[in-house]
Amino acid sequence: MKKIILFFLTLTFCYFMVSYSTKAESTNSPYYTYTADSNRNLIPTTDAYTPDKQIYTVNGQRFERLEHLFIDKEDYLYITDSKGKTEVIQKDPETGEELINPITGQPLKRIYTGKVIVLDKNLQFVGEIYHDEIVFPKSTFVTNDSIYVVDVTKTSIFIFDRLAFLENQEIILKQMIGKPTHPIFQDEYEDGKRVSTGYPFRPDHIVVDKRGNIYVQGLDSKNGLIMLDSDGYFMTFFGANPLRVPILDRIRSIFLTETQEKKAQEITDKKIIHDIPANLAIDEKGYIYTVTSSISTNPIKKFNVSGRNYFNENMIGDLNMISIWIGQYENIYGLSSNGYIFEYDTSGNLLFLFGGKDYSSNRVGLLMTPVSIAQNSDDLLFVADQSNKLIQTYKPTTFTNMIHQAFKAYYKEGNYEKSRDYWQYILQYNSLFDYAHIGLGDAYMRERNYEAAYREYYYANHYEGISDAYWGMRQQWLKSNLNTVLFIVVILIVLRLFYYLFDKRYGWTNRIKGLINKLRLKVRVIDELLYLFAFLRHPLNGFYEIKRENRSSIKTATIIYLLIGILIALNYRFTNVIFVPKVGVNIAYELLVLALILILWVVANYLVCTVSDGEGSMKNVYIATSYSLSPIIIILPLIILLSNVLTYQEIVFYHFGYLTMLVWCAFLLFFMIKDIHNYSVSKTIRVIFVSFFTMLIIGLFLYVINALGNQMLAVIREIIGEVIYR
Amino acid sequence: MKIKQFMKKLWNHPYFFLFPYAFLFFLIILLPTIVSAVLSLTYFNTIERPRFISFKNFVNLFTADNVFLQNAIANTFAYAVIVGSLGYIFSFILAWLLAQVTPKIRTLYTLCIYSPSITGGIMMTIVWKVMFSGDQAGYLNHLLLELGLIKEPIQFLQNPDLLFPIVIVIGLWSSAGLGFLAMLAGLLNVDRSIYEAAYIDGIKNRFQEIFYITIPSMKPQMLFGAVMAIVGAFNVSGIATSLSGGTTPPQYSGWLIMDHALDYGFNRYEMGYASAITVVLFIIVIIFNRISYKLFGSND
Repeated sequence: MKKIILFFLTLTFCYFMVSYSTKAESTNSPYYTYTADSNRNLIPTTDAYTPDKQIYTVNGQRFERLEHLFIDKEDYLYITDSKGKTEVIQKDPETGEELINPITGQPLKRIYTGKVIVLDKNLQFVGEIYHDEIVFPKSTFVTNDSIYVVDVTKTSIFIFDRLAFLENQEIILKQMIGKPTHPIFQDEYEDGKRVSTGYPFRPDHIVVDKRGNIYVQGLDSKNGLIMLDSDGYFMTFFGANPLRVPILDRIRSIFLTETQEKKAQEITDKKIIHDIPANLAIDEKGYIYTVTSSISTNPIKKFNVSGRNYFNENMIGDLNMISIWIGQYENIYGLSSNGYIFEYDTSGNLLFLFGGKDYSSNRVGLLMTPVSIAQNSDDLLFVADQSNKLIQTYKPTTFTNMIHQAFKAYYKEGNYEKSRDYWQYILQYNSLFDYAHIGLGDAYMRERNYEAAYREYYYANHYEGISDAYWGMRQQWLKSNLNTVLFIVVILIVLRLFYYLFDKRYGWTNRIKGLINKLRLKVRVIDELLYLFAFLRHPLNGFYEIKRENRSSIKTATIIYLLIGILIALNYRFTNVIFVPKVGVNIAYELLVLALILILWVVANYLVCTVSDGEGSMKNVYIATSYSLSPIIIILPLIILLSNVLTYQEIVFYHFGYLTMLVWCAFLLFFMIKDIHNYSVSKTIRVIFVSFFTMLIIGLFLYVINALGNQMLAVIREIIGEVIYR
Repeated sequence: MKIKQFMKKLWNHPYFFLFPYAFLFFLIILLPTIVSAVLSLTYFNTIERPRFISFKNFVNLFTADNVFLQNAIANTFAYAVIVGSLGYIFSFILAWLLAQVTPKIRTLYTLCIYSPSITGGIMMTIVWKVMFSGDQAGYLNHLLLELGLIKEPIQFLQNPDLLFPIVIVIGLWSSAGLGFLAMLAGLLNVDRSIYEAAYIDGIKNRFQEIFYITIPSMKPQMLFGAVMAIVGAFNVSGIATSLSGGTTPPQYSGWLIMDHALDYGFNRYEMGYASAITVVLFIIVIIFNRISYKLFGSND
């Protein structure tokens, strides 16, 4: 019987396991996919790309050393294999006959090392590019009519005719661009001796813009990209990363004289960290993207023609990013040599992060030494892995395809309705995908459906969006209601006028005042609470009355503290979310901390003042502190109410209210200490600092006691335990 | 006889004595205000006859005018709060310092300190534009480059994030105006004997002197200074535009309500709309003045 129950239990357990795993991620990928939420935290999400094929061989030949992948607009794939060998049968240049080795009788062959293999859309072999001049091809770039091959050893760029090659497999060298003739690149000689070396021209990767200008990413190129025109003449440097000079050297250079600085310069130069871009790309609009492997905060930069970076200074990235590719929806792929693939949207926000390092486990989809990434028009990703000598492809999932379609609809076609439908579909897949909520919100904004946009932004905690959507909502409301509001205001003004007139005759105000006064005489607490207004008008008088005339009581002070506590809680709960974020705030905890600080302050201040000739008692300090904090009661409700009709455009009003409250409180607290204890100004300042220090010490002391107490409790518990069990 | 009596009565009537001032006040101050308030309810382009459109100008101002709502209001508020309050304190400190020196030098200093508020427009183009010029010849840029704090000149006057702080700095610089003069006069008029009495009663230092005697005894001047500071801070216009050049500053940075009114009034000739803007400004200034009356005015 027991066994049967156990069996059933196991079965249900297994069932839950299975159903759970299928629900979570029905995946066959060896890695997790992450996305970023609005607070820039990485959170796991649905698979974005799944590993598809692995290409080991082309034409039965294995890759030797993969360097670079490039896919042109017609989906031809150019694989640069710097050690790949090609055997070509030699032909007589005049007769065209095959030459034969006179000794062996075999056809005479010539072996080329280093080639570019070209595959077509269906990954069928088209041809190979090799040339007598090419020694070590590193990368390629392909325009509509030229194939650019970069040779690292020869430090040159070879330009071949693309159409002739694709149609007839003819390799026609159109042009070769070597070191520019500009003096900056030339070594300087004096009497046959080299005085200085020229600027290094060691091209690694290139892009070519629509006019044929070549942007060269070179090894050791500290000034950034080298921009050449289509004939190879040097134009300018472009898009360098800022220097990172150690802060100490920067401060020192202010104090040094010119000669001293020149000497120090030689030492400083060695310390300066040059961040040299590792790869580059160009999009259809002509923006140049660079990726730098030595920067982790903003590895990818997007430059316009004048060299301005459009991307945020701290985007989510990784060290060791080495390759970049621009997708057809202006999405950006980055590849880090740790095996991670990043996908960003057009403004540099992280969409997906997936992949991982392959520690010789040979799992499909993990990468050992990835070097280059490219994507074709079917959104298939190709990644070259140098150590595994293979090309890994990744297929986008339906989820990712939908996102790309939404991009296309929103950014390219401007069809907001269509993009809205896509985003809604995406949210059915993954309703926690902040990015989709924001996208949907953007689409709603374009349709001027502000309320829906507000809702979507709210889900995603996208505060700028919330602010903008609320702006729209408010404008719509004002448009339909402002006339009524103005009318009501006019009526109110007229009513006030009438009240003023009739008040003179019938004395309503006096009657109300009389009633309040009666109440004040009867109930002491109300009297003391209402005294607050008189206090705020004449604070110095107030302190005197509190101290000498026993004007208020501990009960009232406690009520004021409670009121302040409630208001602070309300502040966290009801202030506009764009000013006080509601994520990750524990109101009870915050209140507890504030209360502790307050108690500490009252105790510390009392202790300090009793030993330094202060006149006030503990009760005085307690009551006067509560009254000094009372501006919070007056202003905070106004701020809470006002903040709910404000947007980021009017943030100055919010800040002003807050600042007024703080300054007012600080002013009152200062004079509270001064007047309650009868100090001079300088002594008050001293006492305040000493009080803060005491607070710190008391806090430290409490912490130590807490830690020790816990230890002691544990010991006692264990002793009792021992006694009971023995 | 009756006429003579009537004339005599009229001749001695208090309103008659009031008449010269009342007439001028009506003509120069009250009439333009009323005309502006009336025009704010019309569409008026200076060529055609004004057409009555009731509150439409105001509705447009608060619903459709994004430049006004997003830039002008927030900027003016920030400018007035910072320049108004700091400039006020600044004026008082300067006045108090000047009250301590000998009369001849005092006159010279007063002239120096007062002059920026009257020569503002000209000084702006000469001094401040050179100071904040965007190339390396600008004084500030040159200094920062020399010190090695920056690598390339900063476009102070074309960068929207920097232009507004610069406008505020210039506002502070020229804030020692009429209020400052009034406060100086007030300071010099405080009765010396009160100070002596206070010292006998136990005042210990200059700070207490200011706090307990100087400020209470020059309350009217303080009030006047506050009113002038507020009105002055709200009525400022054209700093941002004359610094950056062109008709509007980059991204409407430092664009104030008065700039907006002038833009609509004298660039677009929509006088009705411009009047509506000034009426709104008028109401804002009145509210702030009432607050300052509450704070500084005497209690009776």
